[in-house]
Amino acid sequence: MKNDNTVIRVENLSKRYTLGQLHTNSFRDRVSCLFKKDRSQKERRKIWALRDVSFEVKQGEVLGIIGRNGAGKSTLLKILSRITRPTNGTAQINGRVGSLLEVGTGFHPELTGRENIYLNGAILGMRQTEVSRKFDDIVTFAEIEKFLDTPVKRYSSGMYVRLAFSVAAHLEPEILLVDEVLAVGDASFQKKCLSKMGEVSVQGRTVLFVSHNLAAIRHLCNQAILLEAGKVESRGDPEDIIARYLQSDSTDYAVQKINDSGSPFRFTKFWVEDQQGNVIKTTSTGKKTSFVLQYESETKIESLSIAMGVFDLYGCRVTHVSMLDRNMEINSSVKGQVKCVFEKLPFTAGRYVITLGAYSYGLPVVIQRHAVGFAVNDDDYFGEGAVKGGLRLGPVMVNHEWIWEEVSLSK
Amino acid sequence: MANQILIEPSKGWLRINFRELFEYRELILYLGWRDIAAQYKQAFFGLAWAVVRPIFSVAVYTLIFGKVAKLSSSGIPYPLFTLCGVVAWSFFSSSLSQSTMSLLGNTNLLTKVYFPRLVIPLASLGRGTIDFVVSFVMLLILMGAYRSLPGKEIVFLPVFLFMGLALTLGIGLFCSALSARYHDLKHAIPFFSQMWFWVTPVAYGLENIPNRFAWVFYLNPMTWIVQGFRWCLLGVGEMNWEKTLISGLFSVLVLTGGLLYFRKMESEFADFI
Repeated sequence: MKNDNTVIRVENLSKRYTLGQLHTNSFRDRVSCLFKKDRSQKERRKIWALRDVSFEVKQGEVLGIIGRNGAGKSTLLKILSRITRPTNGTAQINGRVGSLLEVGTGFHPELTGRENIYLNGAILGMRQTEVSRKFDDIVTFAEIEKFLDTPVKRYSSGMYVRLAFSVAAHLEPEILLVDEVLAVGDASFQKKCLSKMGEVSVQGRTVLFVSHNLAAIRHLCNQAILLEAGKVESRGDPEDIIARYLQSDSTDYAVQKINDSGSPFRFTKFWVEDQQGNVIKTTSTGKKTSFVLQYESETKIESLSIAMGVFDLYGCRVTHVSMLDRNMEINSSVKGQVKCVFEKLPFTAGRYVITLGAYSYGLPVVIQRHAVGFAVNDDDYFGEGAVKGGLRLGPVMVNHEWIWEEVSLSK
Repeated sequence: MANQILIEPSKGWLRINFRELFEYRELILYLGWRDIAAQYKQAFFGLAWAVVRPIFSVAVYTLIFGKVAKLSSSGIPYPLFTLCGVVAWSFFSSSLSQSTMSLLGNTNLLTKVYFPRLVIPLASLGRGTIDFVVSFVMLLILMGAYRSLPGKEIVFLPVFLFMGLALTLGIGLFCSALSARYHDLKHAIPFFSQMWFWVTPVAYGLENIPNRFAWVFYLNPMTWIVQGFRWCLLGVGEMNWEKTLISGLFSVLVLTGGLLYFRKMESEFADFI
């Protein structure tokens, strides 16, 4: 390395995936593919998840990586964490790397909290002596003292996530790679995690941080990179990069294809319709708007219900709508389309992302985080021709009225 | 700086970084322990299963092949004779089934965390090791009960242990990598392992095999491992050193091949699995 200060140097990194790879997992497919005359299966589409990405990270920098779904953020982190190899290009890393692409990886439900701390510590690359030394801190941070010797399958989901994050938070690598793990847990715990991450950067460690949570990027990072379609679009001060990201309107909000979840149940397409049923790229506050979602499943799903969590670009959950709230379930379905109609769209101008969930008997079948998005233009929500509209500081408009009466001071 | 990592595209057959593997020894032990602990915590009888299984097998073989079919067991009490075979075989078969499922069962680890991928099939040998140790202790007890003390041949036992380990790990590596790539293999391997059992002299002695089928047994390296165990521990028969040496070399070859194949495939695991 030329410069002692540079801890990560990425040069012309590229990664190509072959689409449809997931579905040729059986030997039979492979053999039948060899004998096919048209070879159409062999010429599956190839896509570049990353294309000639180059950048450097200096010691102590906290670099945020932002970009839309499919821009290559996760692929980049996977390559830097050595989970998958690049197709072309190289990356050099100086220092002990800890990567946190998920919390609680390798947790076993049958094992107790204590056992899982040691197991997860080893998975994340900690020595047993290191875990023993930090054991009390981990337990205190996770607030699970009383349940240490209970199998984690009896934990509430909040406790589970707290314990998982706590182990990870006590990893002390020189370089930390983090992917969207803050999107878990309740709000107060998220706050605790954020401050823990802040501590990490104060200690002079280098952090690469992928997130949809722009507030977290702004709060934690001193540098940011905007990835677009597998390439570095720009790099600089987080404030500027976030602004660029919000301005760039290259996302096609017409009909959106949804990434394959790899599970037998798949959401396939999503689009937004206006009052007349036309597909629109942008909708407006207060207008009748429908979100249409198509899905298909390899197996019949009983008592299927679908839910959507709407998030603003700062990672804040604006609302959550579920078919279960309206007492609706679909029976024995393998393929279909659901429409969620907002008589009067409450969202204020801006862009939003939706996390999709499918449930069977109320239990999750597939959850796809930030799978699709939509854009809203400012409009007159109350339809009263308010010329000087309010500041629209919140993400939603709520129906309300103002009443004024004169009151004498003596009252 | 101490840790320099270079990430580059995979280039065919790669060298195995044994030093790094050694650094991850704790993870191998933890994962092996997790599989065993989780398995036995779920079971009502827990570890007792590891004791019950060999007893059951030995009882069935003794009854069917010893009492009903009246096959010879080289002058050794039939239970002792088969238990010695079961000791050698159980490590092989249970490791084979565990390692076949090992990568598929740890998909979340493979796609979320870095560690040398060899850790997973190595950790999957844990179950087989427990089965082996338990049945070996039972064999020692049974030998005591029959007043059958091992002769000086026992010094060769490590040779056969190593042969068994090399062969098992080698085949296990092939199976784990192949079943991660081709998921339907996980259905074929138990069947394959069952067939293998019947061409290995576990439940019956080699001398009972008609000459025209003997070649199948001779070609099977497990035959010479099982025979070796019996020779070392019970002093049964003459040692066929020539064939043992050949199967020993074959086992080492399988292990080398398995390591290289696994190493070649491992860069793809996260993308394919």
